[in-house]
Order: sequence, then C-alpha cells, then structure tokens
Amino acid sequence: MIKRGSLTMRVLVVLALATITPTMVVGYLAIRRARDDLEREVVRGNLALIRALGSSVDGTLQSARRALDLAAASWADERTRAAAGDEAPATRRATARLLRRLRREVPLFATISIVSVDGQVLYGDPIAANENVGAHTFGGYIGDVVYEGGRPRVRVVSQARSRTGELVGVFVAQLDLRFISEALASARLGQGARLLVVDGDGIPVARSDDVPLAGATSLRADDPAVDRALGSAKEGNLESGGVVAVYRNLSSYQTLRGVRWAIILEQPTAYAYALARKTTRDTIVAGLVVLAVALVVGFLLATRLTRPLRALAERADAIAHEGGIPDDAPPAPVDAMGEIGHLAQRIEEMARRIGEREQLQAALAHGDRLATVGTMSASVAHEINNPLTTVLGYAKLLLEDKGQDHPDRAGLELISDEAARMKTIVGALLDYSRSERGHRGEPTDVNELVQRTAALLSPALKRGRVTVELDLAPHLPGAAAAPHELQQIFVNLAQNAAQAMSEGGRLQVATGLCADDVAIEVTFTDEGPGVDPALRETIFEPFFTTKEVGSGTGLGLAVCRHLVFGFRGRMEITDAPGGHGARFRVVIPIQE
Amino acid sequence: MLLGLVVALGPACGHRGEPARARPRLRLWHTFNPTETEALNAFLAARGGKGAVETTLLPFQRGQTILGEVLAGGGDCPDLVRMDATWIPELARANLLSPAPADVASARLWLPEASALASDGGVQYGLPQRLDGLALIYRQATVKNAGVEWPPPTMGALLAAARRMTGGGNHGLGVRVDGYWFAAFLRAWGGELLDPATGTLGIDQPIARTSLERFSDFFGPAGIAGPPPPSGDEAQDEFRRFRAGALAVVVDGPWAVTELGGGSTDGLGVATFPPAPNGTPAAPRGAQMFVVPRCARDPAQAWALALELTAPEVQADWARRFGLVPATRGGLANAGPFVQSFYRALQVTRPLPWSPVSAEMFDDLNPAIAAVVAGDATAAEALAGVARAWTRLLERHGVHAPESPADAGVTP
Repeated sequence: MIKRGSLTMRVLVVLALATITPTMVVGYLAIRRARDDLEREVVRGNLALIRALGSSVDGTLQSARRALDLAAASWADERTRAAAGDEAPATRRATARLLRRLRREVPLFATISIVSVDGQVLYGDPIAANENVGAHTFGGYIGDVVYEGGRPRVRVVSQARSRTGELVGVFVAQLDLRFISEALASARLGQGARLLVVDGDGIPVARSDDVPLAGATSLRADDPAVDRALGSAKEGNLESGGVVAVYRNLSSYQTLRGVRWAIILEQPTAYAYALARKTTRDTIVAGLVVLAVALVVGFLLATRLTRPLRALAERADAIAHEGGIPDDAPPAPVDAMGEIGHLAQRIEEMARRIGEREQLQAALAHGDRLATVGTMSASVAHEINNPLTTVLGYAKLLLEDKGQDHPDRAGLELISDEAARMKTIVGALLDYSRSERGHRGEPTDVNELVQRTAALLSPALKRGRVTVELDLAPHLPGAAAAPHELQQIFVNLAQNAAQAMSEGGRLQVATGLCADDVAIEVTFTDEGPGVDPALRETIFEPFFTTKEVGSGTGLGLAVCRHLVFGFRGRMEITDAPGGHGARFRVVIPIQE
Repeated sequence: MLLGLVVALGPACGHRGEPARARPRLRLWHTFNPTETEALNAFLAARGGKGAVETTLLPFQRGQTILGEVLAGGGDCPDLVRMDATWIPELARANLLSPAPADVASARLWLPEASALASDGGVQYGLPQRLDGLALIYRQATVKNAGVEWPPPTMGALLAAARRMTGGGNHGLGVRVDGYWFAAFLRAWGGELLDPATGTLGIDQPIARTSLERFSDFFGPAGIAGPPPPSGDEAQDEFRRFRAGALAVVVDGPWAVTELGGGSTDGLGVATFPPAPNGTPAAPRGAQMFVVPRCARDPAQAWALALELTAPEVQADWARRFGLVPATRGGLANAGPFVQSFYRALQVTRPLPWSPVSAEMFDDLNPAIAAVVAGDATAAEALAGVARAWTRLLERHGVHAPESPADAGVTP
C-alpha cells in the first residue's frame, strides 16, 4: 500500500526525535541547572554577607572584650602589688584613671563596674544586687542581651586575676548594641531583604527594617528561619512561605563562643531569585523561538529533501502503471546531490532500458507476426514461382515468335512484364522468408560493409546526383549479423535515400557505438522530404510504399526490418537533424 | 465518602466539639557540639508527625548558670535539657528538676557507670545519653613501632613510653593545660582535688604541688607534650598534631574521636588511663544526661522524646558515626569494636568528687595551672590561690573547710 505524503512527516518525526527532543531535554536540564546555580549563588552571596556582618560584630565585641581583659589584667596586677583589700587612695586614683581611659577607648560601653570576688561593686557604675556576676562564670564571657530603656545591651565580663591566676575582682561592662543596628543598616541589601540579629530567645537585637525593637517578642514560633538559626550550630539556609532565608549562629565565632545569638537574612523569593527566574524565562522564550525556527527550517528541509524523492516516485509510478513517463511529468532529479541524484540516474537508465526492451519485445512480436506471414508467403511463393516461371518462359517464347507489329505482341509483353514483376515479388517474398534468427558466424566488420556498399552503389548514386559522405567510427567491435544481410539492408536504405532525393542531394552514412556500448549503430541521413511521423511505423509494413504504383514491391523496408529483427537489432526512423530529411538508424548487436 | 468526610473533619474537631489546640512545641535545650547538633536536627526532622521540637543550643561554659537562672525564673522554661551530669546535683537540690518516672527510668538497660551519674540522693533525674571520661587514644602503629610497654599499667610506664616516643619534633603525649586533665594526673600520682564529704581540700597538699610541677614539665622545652598553644586553640591544635602524626598518644574523651581520627577510627586504639598507685581509677568519668525541669510545660512528651533520643539504635548510630560511648547496653552492643574498647577504658575511671562548688572549681583551677605552665607562678603560689578561692566558694555554700595543715601561706 502506497502512502503518499508520509515521507515528509516521517522526516519531521525523525528530526524531532533525533534533534528537537534531545535538545529540549538537554535544554530543560541546562535551564534547571542554571536556575539552581543562580539560586545557589544568591544563597552563597547572602551567606557571605551575613558572615561578613557576623565577623564585623565579632570584631567589635572582640575589641571591646580585649580592652576590658587588658584593663582587668592591669588592674589585677596593680591590686596584687598593693596589700590585699587595701583600697589606698593611690589605688583608687589609678583605678579611676583606668576606667576613664576604658570609657574613652570603648565608647560602646554604657556602664563599667569593678566587682569584688564577693560580688560587691568596688568601682564604677552600680549593678543590681540580684545579678550574680562573680560566680558560675567559667571565666570571662559575653552574656545574654538585656534591654535598658528599650535599647539592647549585652554584659561583657572579664575576670581580673593575679599573676598566679587567683581571682581578685571582676570587670563588668554593659555594651550598647546599637553598633549592630548600624552595621545592619549600612549593609547593601537586595530588594525586599531584611537582616535580623536575634538573641537566644529569638527576640530581635537589631534589624535592618524600621520595626522598633522596643517591646519586641520572640520570633521563634513565627519565623522558621529564626527557629532554625537558633537550633543550628553553624549556618544554613531554608525556603519557607515564599521567603528564602540564610542564617548563621554567632556562637560559631571565636569571640562569641557561648553567645546564643543568630544573624538572619530574609528575602522574598520573588526578589531573591528574580535574576534566576528572569534568566529562566528568557531562556525558555529564546528556546521556543529557536524551536519554532528549527521546526520551520526542518519542514523546509524535509520538503526539499523529499521533493526529488516524490518526483522519482511519480516517475516510477508512471513507469509501473503507464508504461512510460509522460511529457508533463516533473523532471528527473538527476542533478540532485548524493544518493538521490545517483538513484534518479539509475531509475532513468532503468526506464530507458525498459523502454528499449519493450520496443524490442514489440518488434519481436511484430517480427514473429511477419515471420508467420513470411512462412505462408514462402509457401505460396514457392507454389506460384514454378507456374510463374512457366508463364514467363512461354510469354517470352511467344514474343520471340511475334514480330514488332504483331497484334498479340502488346498482350504478350504485358503478360511477360507482369509475370516478371510477379517473379520479382515472389523472389522478394522468398528472401523475406529465408532470413534467419540470430547470427552464429564470425563477427562482421560494419565499417567495411558500409564502404563496400558505398562503392557498389557509387555509379548509380552518381547518376542520381547523390553524393555519399561516410563518417565511420574507428575500432568498432564486430557486429553480430550476417554480412550479406547487413549489406542487403545498407543497399536498401541507400537506394531508398537516393530515391527520396529525386533532385539529388547528400547522403550521410555514419557508424558508431550506442550510448550503452552494447550495440553498433549505423545511420543513413538524407536530404529528402522526410517521413511523415504518422507513417513512421507503417512504412515498415510489408507491401507499404510511397512510391508510384508498380515502381516498388513495398517489401524493401519490411525485409530490412525483418532482417534486423533476425539478428536481434532495432531499426527506427526520425527526422534528420535540422528537420530536413529523414534519418534511418539501424542498431546492431555486438558479437560477444 | 462518609469515611473521607470523617477523616477530613476529624482534625478540625476537638474534645466536646471545641476546636483542637495545636500542641505547643517541645523546647529542647542542649549542649551538643556542632556535629552532634546537626545530627540532632536531622533526627528531629525525621520524626515527622510526632510533634515539633524547638531546639536551642546552650553554651557549655555558661550552661549551668543560664539553666539555673531560667529554671528558677520559670518563664522561658525548656521542656527537656541535655546537659552535663555534674550539673544535676545542684539543680536537683534546688528542686528545679523532675525525677524520672519509674517507667521511664526503667525503660532502658542503662550501663551502670552512666546510671550512677544520673541520680542524686538516690533519686534518678536524668536519662543518660552518653558516657564520657578520659582515656588514652593512640596510634596503634606508632606505639607498636616504639616497642613500649602498652597499655601502660602505671603512670611511670605511660610517661616512659611518652618519653620514648618524643623526639624529632614529635611528642609522645597530648595533654591540655586544663584542670580536668590535671585532675587525672593528680589522682594518678596519688592526690585528689578535695574530699566532698568533709570539705577538706586536696589541692593545697604537697602531692598536688608536686603533681602540678611535674604536669607543668610536660609542656617545657624537653617535655613530652610540647609547648601549649594559645588559649582557645587547645583542642584544634591537638587534633591537628595528632592527625599529622606529631602526637603519638592523646589524653582525651569520646567527644574528640571524630576530630582526632578525621572521621575514621582506622588505626586508632584506646587504652586505660593509668590508675593511682593504690589501683584506684584516676581518670575522671562523666556523662551527658537528658533531664526534665519542673517548669516544663509538657513533661510527659519531654520524657517520651528523651526515650527516643536514648533508644539503643540511636545511641549505636551516633556511636558508629561520632565515636561516642552509648549509655545503654543495647547501644553499646551495636556500637562497634572501637567504641566498645573505649567503654572498657572508661570502666577504669572515676567521677570527680561532687560538691556545691564543682562547677566553679575549674574556673579558678584553670588559670592557676596556666600561670604555672607559663612560668608566671610556682605551683605552690598558684595552688594556694586556688585553695583560697575554693574555701571562699565553699563558705558561700555553707561548707567550711578545715584548716589545711599544708597551706603554704602565700598571699595574692
């Protein structure tokens, strides 16, 4: 079953499967990966930001704590040198100077106190009695956030120990955490982003937005990022409720070890991943455009690719169903590149050979028909020939006895002439019937036969003012035909040409190899009136003649064609080049 | 369809038709290290629908102080706390902890060494999470190649082995300049920090001074431990040196195994820290506990979570991953040979004496040891100051230490 038009679709399907589908899959994966990478970059960038901020907070606290540690160590040395418990005026003055210098060096200290090992405030600002800062400290520390007047502060404690490591007092300072809010405010944040620093209870210590800190409550239950940050020991990220958050537990810093704070950066995913999503969208749009272009180009390519195949299919259909290629059929794509051109050439060659074979078969069939006629004619001619000889002989005898003026002479001459003509016809019929199928003898040199024929007919042709031009191809292989039959054909064709040129003219005789190199062709081209296309088949019929009645038997061309079929050749007639005259072409098989 | 309707409406309907109230999230406070914290968070995340848990990392250094203040205040009370076993007595005597229900306490087959640390006054307050203590962690190949007597039966054998493995930039023994480590050596040489029963101090005894001098010599130019790193970097310095092969043996606990081995225990061995001359275990033993404060909002759920976290399979998993020693027999059985060998080493340890000042003792002892190691003070000077500080602390808690006959009389 022939499915027309399906090849283009198949080519498109193949294109889709082979190129478009993998491209789409790979494109999807690439887009997804690019999006993930961009989102990771956002997270990485935000983490870097909070690391830097955490480091900045750590640095400030570290400086403050180091200043307090140094002051405590200095005070401990001074106090150790003095008598135990002796608060001499010099010691008091020195301590006062130390505290002033400390306040000057660390303006962030809102209060500074020096507490004895018993918890009594010795110097500086007062401390609430219930604040047990001298015990359970495991050394110096940074305490939890407390709110003084709505402002977050943190307690920094340094132990003042003597040279031997013995505790002689405790330095307690309240550090104002405004600097964290200032650090957050100076951070360059993306659209919609906010920074938070929360204490261990999830209460904001500092934030980059305008929400006031005073009266703030814990965000642990409301903000998953706060919850995750305080439960984590390191840093991380999460996405929840349309917000992407990165966090870092500040206890991971050296100075802040033991501090239960966390820093969190939150940003709506719509803003945080805006670039990633725009890139994804643009890539998809570009991909769809490219896909559409690819489909159009693919369709055009498929059409272009299948067009010559369709033409070949139509020509093959014509060969299969109509026996030949119609004139309005699309041209064969013999010039197409690659296999298609090669295929077209081969199909054309096959078509031509099939045509020739059909012509040969038709000719053979015709030859068989003629052979039957010839056999019958030979039988009839043989039966007629003897009585006719008798009639002709007696007619001639009777004529010899009759004088020129004898009244019967005219009748006897008519009998004699007609009998002679009948004998000629009978002779021709006998020639026709005697031709053999195939040639089993030596190969025949066609050029030599042509030359011999030309020489043989030369006088007669000169009389008819016909000049002969020979164009003989050299090195022709031997022909598979009997020389006498070929010569009979050549003589017949040359005489016909001379008769066609009643006013004289030029007869061109050419030999050569056929295009497929399997046969020899001999052409006789005259300058006569040519042959009407409608008669080009009929003139090979026996007893058909265009000559005047009685001037020809009408068997010449029939005998020629019969002989040609006999050695499996072919004979055809066309117009001479230029359209003036006729050309008879005889194709003779090569002797293998 | 009816079933579907019931299922759909079910969660929206509470007792007697009242709207169901969301159960408050359990609050878990803990002192896990960063690696364990991540493992804990993963464990809790995998619990799924068993209820949300709000975790808070409690700084170990100030953990007892913060806990004491918060539990006494009751406002922001955690439901469950994972903490050091030595914090139990003070919190329990302040009536801030809930005794473990009998069915909870008996739900696991606790190792006796851990179980003993979970109680105070005969009442069990904690569910042991892991067993801690000091032992000798060593490189098997290094020790074998050195041809030393191993495991060392006495402190003399340990120091001789360490001396033999010291040289060429490498040191035989990794020790921290820390009171906890010093306590192990002090007891191995026959001393003690204090007698909690009588309040008598041992830190100012001659054996303590001699021990501190010998301990300080570890870190001298020709010492077996090498010079100490800057304060705050002791642990990381020890891990780096051990992993690099510059330390043959370290005195450390199970908590350090992951870092010491770089994630693997291949080629590592554990040996008992030498006992005192009289055979008494010298190395300190400790444990980590889950306790439920009296102010917990949902004690039943808190104990249930504690049981989940002390399940033998969880303890075995953490043992295999982090080298921690489980506190249950089931956990230990599946903990792997390395951890089981660590447990055997911890069997030859002894808890530090507990007193009301236990938590604060090291606050004064550590700077004193550091001063001696740095050469800023003699052992006598430093330990005299420690004795004064501890006496003051004991007096603050109503314990009056008897006059020490060995007091050197050094004034600060």
